[in-house]
Amino acid sequence: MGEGLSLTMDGGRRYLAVARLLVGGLAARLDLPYEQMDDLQLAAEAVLAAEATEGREVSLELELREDAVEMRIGPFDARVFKEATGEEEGLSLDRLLAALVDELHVRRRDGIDWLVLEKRVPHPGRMR
Amino acid sequence: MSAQPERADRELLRAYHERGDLAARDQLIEDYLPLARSLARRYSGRGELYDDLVQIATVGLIKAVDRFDFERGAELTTYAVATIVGELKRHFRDAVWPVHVPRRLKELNRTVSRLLEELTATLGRSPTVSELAAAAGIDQEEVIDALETGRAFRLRSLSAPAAEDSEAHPLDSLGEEEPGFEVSEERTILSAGLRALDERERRIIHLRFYQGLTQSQIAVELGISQMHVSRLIRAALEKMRDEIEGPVSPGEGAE
Repeated sequence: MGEGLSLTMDGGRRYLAVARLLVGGLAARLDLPYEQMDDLQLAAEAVLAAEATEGREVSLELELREDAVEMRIGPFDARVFKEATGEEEGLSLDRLLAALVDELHVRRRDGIDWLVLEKRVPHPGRMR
Repeated sequence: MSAQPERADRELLRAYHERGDLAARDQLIEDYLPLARSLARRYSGRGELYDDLVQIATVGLIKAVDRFDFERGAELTTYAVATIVGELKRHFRDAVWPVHVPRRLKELNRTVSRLLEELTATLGRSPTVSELAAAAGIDQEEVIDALETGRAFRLRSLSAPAAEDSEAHPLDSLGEEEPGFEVSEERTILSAGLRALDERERRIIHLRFYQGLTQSQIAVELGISQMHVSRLIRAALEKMRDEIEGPVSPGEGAE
């Protein structure tokens, strides 16, 4: 892992504010615009509040890359992603996240699935 | 208000309601905006930005113009005051600080919210936390605290009606459990929750997640602050989750 932060906590909605503060703190250090920071925070909240991470220990990792911030949340139950049906009625987690981040995929590491969210940053700063 | 303006109001109302004259509608709204501002001012100083209250009062005014009923015999002034005050009271009923928040943090939240709008307009982009901190003369950590404080500002309790004109409790619409439900369906966040939202919440969700508008674009579209949009999105998502999963029990939620 390059420059970044990680947090391990109980999954579910109990520690959403802690996760939000962590993401906000990193975003501030990176000098991200408010809107990008809020998008990343909302993405983290949405994933952590989903049953994909409920009731077990979950880790949230944030890493500064060349032109993006990568946020990883795991272990993650990839079954929460509904297959694209084209239906307009619902708001699925993948649709929600697609509006908040630029890249979204599941990566297997050390035998567990991680949800990887990437938000491109227009003028990446350095960790200060 | 004298009889002359009332006659003019009635002519405009008839033009709008009977002939669909939208210019007449706009004229009525413009004529009554000072009333909306005046009523909003009465409710300022209670923890909400005056500009946001003006927007809420304006929503009430538009409803009064749109729903005016000639059969009832009331004047538009009377009906508008009642509708605008109702809208403002509804907002304060639904939007409360859930826990004791120190006055300084509330003030910081107001300051940061105002600067967020000003800097977005000045810079032509969303400001960074360091820019907000510099403009407010505070530390970056305090800006983050102020933003977090704003998110504690709960917009609608779970016991509030699901929609403005509905008496239905949001939780009343929870569906029957289906034993054969696929895991992916069951766990798809928020799929069925849209019905728990009121018209404005649904519109914001649609603009953000279906139309792809940014927070600041939605703020402009709806005439409210970015921070208010952020709060509304979170409140809507929370309401949708609760619709599907049930509300978080006391002590379980982080907010």
